[in-house]
Amino acid sequence: MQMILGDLEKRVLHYLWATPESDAKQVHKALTMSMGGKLNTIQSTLDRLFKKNLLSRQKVGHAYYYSAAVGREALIAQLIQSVTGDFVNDKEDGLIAAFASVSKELDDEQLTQLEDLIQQQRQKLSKDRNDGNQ
Amino acid sequence: MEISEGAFVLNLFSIGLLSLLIATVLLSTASPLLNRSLALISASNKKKVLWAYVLSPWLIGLVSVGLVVLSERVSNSLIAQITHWHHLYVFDIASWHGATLILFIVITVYVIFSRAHSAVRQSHNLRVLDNFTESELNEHQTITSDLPSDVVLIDSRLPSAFSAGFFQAKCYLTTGLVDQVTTPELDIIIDHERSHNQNKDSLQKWIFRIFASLFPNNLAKQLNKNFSTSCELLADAEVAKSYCSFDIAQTLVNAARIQRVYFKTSNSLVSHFIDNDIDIRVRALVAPQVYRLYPLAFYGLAFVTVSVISFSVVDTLHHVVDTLFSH
Repeated sequence: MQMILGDLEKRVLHYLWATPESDAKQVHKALTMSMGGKLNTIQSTLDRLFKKNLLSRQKVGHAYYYSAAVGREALIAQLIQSVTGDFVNDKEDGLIAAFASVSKELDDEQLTQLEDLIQQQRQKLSKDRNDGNQ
Repeated sequence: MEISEGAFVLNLFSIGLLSLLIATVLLSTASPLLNRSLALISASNKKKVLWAYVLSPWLIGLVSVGLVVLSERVSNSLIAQITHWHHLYVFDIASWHGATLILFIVITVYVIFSRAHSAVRQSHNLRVLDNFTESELNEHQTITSDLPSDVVLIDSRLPSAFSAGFFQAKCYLTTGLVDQVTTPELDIIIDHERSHNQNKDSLQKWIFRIFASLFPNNLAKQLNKNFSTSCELLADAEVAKSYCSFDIAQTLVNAARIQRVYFKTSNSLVSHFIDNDIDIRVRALVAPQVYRLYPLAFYGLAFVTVSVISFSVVDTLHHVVDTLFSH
């Protein structure tokens, strides 16, 4: 999914996340209250968002009625994915450094093993220190 | 056909390119040795060796060109024998030399362009992400006001923390992670990400990736993975100057658990897979190896060997290909 979004696209999405279904006129009316703009601009913005698979639409009479195809949470998750994409698997160009990246292979049991290792090493260090003091 | 100083320059490019390609083949063949030696050295040395490895073909190509130029200045030298090129002032663009040169330039430009394009796209997506964090954070106002200016809080249930940006890098945290970690854990996470920013890891990864593209795909992935792991280990080591290593390791495991719970309970497509990275990092923190060995002589010898073979094979390869294709 092409995830490049303009400011107006973001505002339209915000509106459609809060409103179940709207046509271009309704979106235009709602957004011009806060930021102005022409109906044509809103129509082309809605069309772009539809082509980016972020909106779905259905024709009622002569007008298209738009609704959000991707929820807000899912969109943010996809944006995060696009910037934190896997550096290794080459599906995206991950140029980031994530604090913790869960390996496909790393299951709960392995995490518990790592936790046990931390505890063991902690106790070992503590014991070594106590022995050193005595 | 060109017979001039221009042909000399084009031949220099051809010599450099052939040396570069031979060096790449030799280094790719020797990659199991590299992997074995990387296990013996510290993360900072590992990073240096990886840089040297991916830059070597280019360096060898440049040195080859330098040697040919030098051999033209110094007559009857040993260098002239090693770097012999039998038509230094004649270049036919319609020959295999010209075709190879053009193909290489096209591929190089394509790789740089595609990497630049992906960097621009990511930078744009980061700006979009910034916009989504500005509002709707009322319940996290306290956290937001406590965060340093280079830390961005994203309002998302997806537990994640990462640093991104080439020149003005920022740390990004999601509310999904912040809400589930303690304050000391949050401090460790922020310091870790800031360490990446200080080291300009995003920029380094981007440049490294371009140079690694020269190698076969699987090897390039392996190189990128090793480089990424080294960056993580160095960032952990930096945080360990201010925090207990065991606490950092525990934070890492806790963050991994939080992510795991999220992935189990959501249908999110988001996943970051760096095989065994957490395992390696935790072990490096709680049971650090003492690296006494840094086989600099081995690496030096390997570089000299690859260089000499590349220089001396250039003309032989040239003659072999000439028997298959006309000039």
